[in-house]
Amino acid sequence: MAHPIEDPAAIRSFFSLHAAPPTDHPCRGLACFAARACQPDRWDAACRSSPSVICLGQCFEGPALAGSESRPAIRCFGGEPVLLERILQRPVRSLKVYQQVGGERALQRAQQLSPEALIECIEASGLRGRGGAGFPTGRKWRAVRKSGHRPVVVVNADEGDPGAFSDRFLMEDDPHRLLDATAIAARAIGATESVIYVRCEYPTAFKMLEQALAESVVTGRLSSITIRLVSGEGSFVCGEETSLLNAIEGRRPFVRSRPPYPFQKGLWGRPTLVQNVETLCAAAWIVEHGAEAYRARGTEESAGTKLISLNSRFSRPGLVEIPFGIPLRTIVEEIGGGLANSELLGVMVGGPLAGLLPPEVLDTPFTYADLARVGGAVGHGGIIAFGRDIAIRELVAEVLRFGATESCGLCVPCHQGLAELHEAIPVVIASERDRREQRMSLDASRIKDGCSPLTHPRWLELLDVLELTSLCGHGAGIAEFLRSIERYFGQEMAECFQP
Amino acid sequence: MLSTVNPVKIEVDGQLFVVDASRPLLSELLAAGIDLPHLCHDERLKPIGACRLCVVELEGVDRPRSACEIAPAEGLRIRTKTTRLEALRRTNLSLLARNYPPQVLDQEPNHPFHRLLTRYQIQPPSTVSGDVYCDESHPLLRIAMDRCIHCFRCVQICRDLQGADVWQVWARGPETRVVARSHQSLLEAGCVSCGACSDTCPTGAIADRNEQVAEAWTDSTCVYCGVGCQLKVGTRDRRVVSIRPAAGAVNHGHLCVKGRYGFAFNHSPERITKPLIRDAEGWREVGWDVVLDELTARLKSIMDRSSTANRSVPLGMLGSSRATNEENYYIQKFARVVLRNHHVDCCARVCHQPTAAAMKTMLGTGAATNGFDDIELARTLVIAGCNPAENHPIVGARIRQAVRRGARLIVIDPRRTELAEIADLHLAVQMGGNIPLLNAMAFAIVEEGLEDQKFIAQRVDEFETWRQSLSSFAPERVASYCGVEAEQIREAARLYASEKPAMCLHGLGITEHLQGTEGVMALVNLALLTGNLGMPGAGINPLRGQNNVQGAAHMGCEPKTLPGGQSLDLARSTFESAWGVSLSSESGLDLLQMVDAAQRRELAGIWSVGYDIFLTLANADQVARSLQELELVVVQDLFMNETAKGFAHLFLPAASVFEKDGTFMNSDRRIQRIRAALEPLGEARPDTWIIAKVAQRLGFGEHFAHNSAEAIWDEIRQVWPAGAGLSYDRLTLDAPPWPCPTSDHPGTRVLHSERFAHGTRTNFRVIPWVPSPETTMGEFPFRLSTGRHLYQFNAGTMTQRTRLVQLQSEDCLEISQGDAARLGISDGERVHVVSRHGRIELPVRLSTRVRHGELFTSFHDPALFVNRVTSPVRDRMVNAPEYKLTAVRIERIGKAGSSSRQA
Repeated sequence: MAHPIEDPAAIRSFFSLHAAPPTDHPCRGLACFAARACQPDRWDAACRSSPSVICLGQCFEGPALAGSESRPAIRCFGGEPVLLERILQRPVRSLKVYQQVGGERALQRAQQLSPEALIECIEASGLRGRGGAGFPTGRKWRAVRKSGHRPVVVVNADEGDPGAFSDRFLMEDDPHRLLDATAIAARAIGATESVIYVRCEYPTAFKMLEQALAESVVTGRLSSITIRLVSGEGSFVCGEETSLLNAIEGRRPFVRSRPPYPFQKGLWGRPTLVQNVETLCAAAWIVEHGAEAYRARGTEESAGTKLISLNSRFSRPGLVEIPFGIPLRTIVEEIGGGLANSELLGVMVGGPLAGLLPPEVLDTPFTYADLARVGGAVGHGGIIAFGRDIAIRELVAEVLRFGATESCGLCVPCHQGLAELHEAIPVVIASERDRREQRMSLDASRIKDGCSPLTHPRWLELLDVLELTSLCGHGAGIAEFLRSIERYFGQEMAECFQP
Repeated sequence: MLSTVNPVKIEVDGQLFVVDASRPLLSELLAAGIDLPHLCHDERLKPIGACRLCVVELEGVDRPRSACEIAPAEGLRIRTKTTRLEALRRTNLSLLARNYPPQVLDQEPNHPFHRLLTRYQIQPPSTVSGDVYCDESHPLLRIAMDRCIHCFRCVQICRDLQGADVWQVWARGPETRVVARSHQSLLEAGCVSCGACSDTCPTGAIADRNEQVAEAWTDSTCVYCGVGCQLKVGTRDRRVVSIRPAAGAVNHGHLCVKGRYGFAFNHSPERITKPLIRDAEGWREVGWDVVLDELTARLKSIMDRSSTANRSVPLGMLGSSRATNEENYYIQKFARVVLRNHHVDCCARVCHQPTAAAMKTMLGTGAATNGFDDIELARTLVIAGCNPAENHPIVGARIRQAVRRGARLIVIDPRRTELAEIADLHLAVQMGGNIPLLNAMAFAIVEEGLEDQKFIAQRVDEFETWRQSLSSFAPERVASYCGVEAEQIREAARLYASEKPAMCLHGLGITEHLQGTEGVMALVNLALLTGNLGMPGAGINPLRGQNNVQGAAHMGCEPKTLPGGQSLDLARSTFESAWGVSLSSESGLDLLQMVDAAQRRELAGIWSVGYDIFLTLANADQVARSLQELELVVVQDLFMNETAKGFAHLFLPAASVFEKDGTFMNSDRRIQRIRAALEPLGEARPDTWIIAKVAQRLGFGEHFAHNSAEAIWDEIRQVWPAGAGLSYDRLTLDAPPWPCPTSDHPGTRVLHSERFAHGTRTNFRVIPWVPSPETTMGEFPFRLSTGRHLYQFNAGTMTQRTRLVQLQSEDCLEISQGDAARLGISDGERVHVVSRHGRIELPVRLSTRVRHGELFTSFHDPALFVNRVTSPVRDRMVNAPEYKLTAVRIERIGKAGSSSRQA
């Protein structure tokens, strides 16, 4: 009998939450790890829980539990808001309210502009992709448009970076804006079809988009485009654009080799604009208010504003819109109010695929280039503060566990390299704990079967292949994190290595 | 495959190279002899970038990139061997060796991964790897997934080359592993045993069971179906020990189970390796001189008698599709020059003679109009009366891939074949209903105004007459005769006429009927009607069942045809002057006429080269009565076949495909070389050697004095203008399809693009419907068709002597569940199948592939002798048997009652 090309059971085996979205699972994201001391029992439960759920987007109240409906504090810093314009006070969920507050103005404006004018406007704004790579948005739109026949818009609403919850609330509180922004992008590139891929850890966001879409379909207001919602099934790497495309196509979400890039051959082999939620929402604002207004915020190289997510270790956690260019110190100390009840170990800016920054570099301005200089990244704008109650080794072990288990398994450095590191570090920690508690010496017999002791040269070799040969940003990003550990916390790590 | 070459200059480690920008850099570097390490790369697959070993440094780019992911651009400057790159490669290799069983490195040092570990001096630590997939049940494949290094080549090749999708990737992260679909055994998971995964695996995690490492490799062509796959024959200790695919234009580095694993017949203990003469005591081994003298004497006696009687020698020569073009040329030349008759035929008679006749008549050339590359160019594919997934598996795989890329598929077949399962439309035509079905499609196209008026106006006559002849074929009117709903017929008609180009591939389900020739004509009518002819991605394309069936007939093993497919009437004088003899003016006998003449005692003998006529001709009992009448039956073969056992006087042991040089002609008009990989076994000799020796003894040595297969081929090129340009050195992996008249002619991929071979215009042919006398009324309520299945080939001569028998050996009677239940027959039960002409015993298999009232069986096992029941009905135009329809009943063995009484 004819069968589907890929075995559905094999595809399901890739996803941790294919059976059902999380209901009452404790979160095992890194923000919740940072906050484990606040509720040790809940964190222990998260470590024991199977399947494990990584980041519910409730980092402002970690350690978090699925099902909570609480809303973070939402603020704007240093000027008028762009992204949070309408939702600072309250969510704008129904079409009626959306229309009352003038939500549709961006789309109306876009309909008056030619596709070319739309692309020029976005190019002029200096907007860069907010999904992590920071690629100039206008250039991407132009490339897709040029690629030709039957382009598609794919909205990457798989905000997987532990510590970030900005896209979640853009979707939950302002769903119509995302739909309109999608329609604007579609108009610019000449698409009539679009898919929004929403991670299943965000059930409310999915529901709000579903309702908003239903309202739009009923009123016929987005008749120029078909929008389809697809739910994720629990996989971090599906936030990687090519993995995401495979997931939407119903294939195993292996990362795809490039070229061809998605703008050339993406979803179903068609030219595809993959854009994350915040980028599209910013683009809608730009179309309404003009490129100049946007450029007036931020810096030359990093124009405009960015949403940042502050975790529960800050005195004042929540979702904040900031202009690019303010120093990290302002974010940590002024906006976040510093750490509650602890001394700062470091901040993880932009998720675990970027560096852990120590207190010494807090004067770095929050821009793409400056953060890259110190080994950090804008990423998704999640900022996780770690207190000194966390040992670097434990943080490294937790990031490696995350990195290894979320690897798509395709390329050698990520699949095998992270696995080797992930096996080695916890053993070191366990042995260390034993030694401390039982005053035993660390000897080879205590090394778990199948795991050779990690030496520092081997560690460096593995960092090299991860950084330089990984197929996608997953392995390379974990390498960035490990490099920052080597750079800023080498002393603390040294104990992990066998001579 | 056609490829655009786009040359650019690049600099590699300081050296300049010109490479093709349309191919991945890695492929070009490897082709240029640069030894870049790689493990997930295979030229047959799209790059996936998994192993990260082919990393190179691009000038001006800090991060190394994988060469498999780079499209070469003009002026690109790269470095491949820096210290940093070597260190990265070494680390990635060490990661792959982390859980690798160390002992296998010494045991099998030649796998690419093992060679790389040695080269980078990496010794796997002795650790035990985790949970791996196991299957020890496959007779041809050995699975050892503890060696899997996750290059995913098996997954990709199974999916993108074969389309069986057996290998799947399970879980993610460190748990990621390759398993068979649903963790079943390979065969349960749908494995078709093509061995592509084993061929591509770089570690031996998937390997050929009991494969011996070959010492030498010889390029050759597959001996099974007519697709013409190119392959490499691996030999060791004077035996064939392995066959691997080559990157031929038709097979793209792929083989099916038969081509890949069906070679052990060559050294079967049953091979006859000495000439034999039968006397009262039975068979007696003799030397060549003895047997040749005996044969010459007997031939002389027959020839002398006929010369006294002043008539052509009453002896028939039978060529073989197993033999080369050169050998078939010799066989017909022997008949025409030595015996001075045209009594020469071959097995093309019984398969595609109707095609050759229909296409020659209507289009001027009796061969496929297009090539296999057109499968990828067609928007619609019509698969009519053939089952390529089993019988032409490489073409089947290419069709499956085309459908996955969006081509539309119409399958016309009484059975629900594998391709029918993925078809847009499966027209499950009732056996014998081809003519009303095809005429009804034509009716629908005309009625709905979908014909290509421009094409018809420019190139086809007799439209009006023909249109009127269709009036009684409205789909609604004939639906019940075809067993297909009228709306389905109309849907197929619309698809074929509007989603162009539409390519038709047909097989014996069309030809082996009372109206076989007319069935092909009806297909040609449809192509003419819709303009699906003379352009890429279209045409009428017979799938040839055997390796050289096209060539055997084309070389003149047919009474009315001279070499090059030239008609005797037109080309007689050319050949008379080329050969320096006058050709007989008496018309020749075709195979079935020989059988008939033998029964009337008008034929004295048959010399059958590689053709087991008794086993394979329909209505075997009648054939037996004829053969008994002959005074001389000579069988020239590898094995003591059924014809030889029952009737032969002399047996001449022939060399096998692995033991001789020559060429085959495949279905898409390519001439492809075979090369001797071994000396002939024992005293076996190539057919040309044997024929030349006999000719010599009869005083015709000068006509058969060539010293090589190539010399014979060069003579053929002199008498066949359309093949004149095809010298041996042009017969590469992508040999030009004929016509190719000159040495600088590129070959002709699409026939009839401007004009037909016989003129600028042709005619529609009126095809009336003449139902077969094999009716299912009364005592014989079932329609039976016969055919092949994946794991065996024709008479089983070769495949029954290989490990393929472990996959499927016995012929079965396929019956629908409903019919079986009604007759109270259970799966596996043995029954008698009785026709008006004979009776056989077969085991029953309940099947979802056949419809109510219809039966199917393969015919591979000589012991079951399926042709005892097939009928004497023949194609009414070209004398080919109607194998595809016999009215039968089923009788349960040892139990009262038969299907006729219960029906």
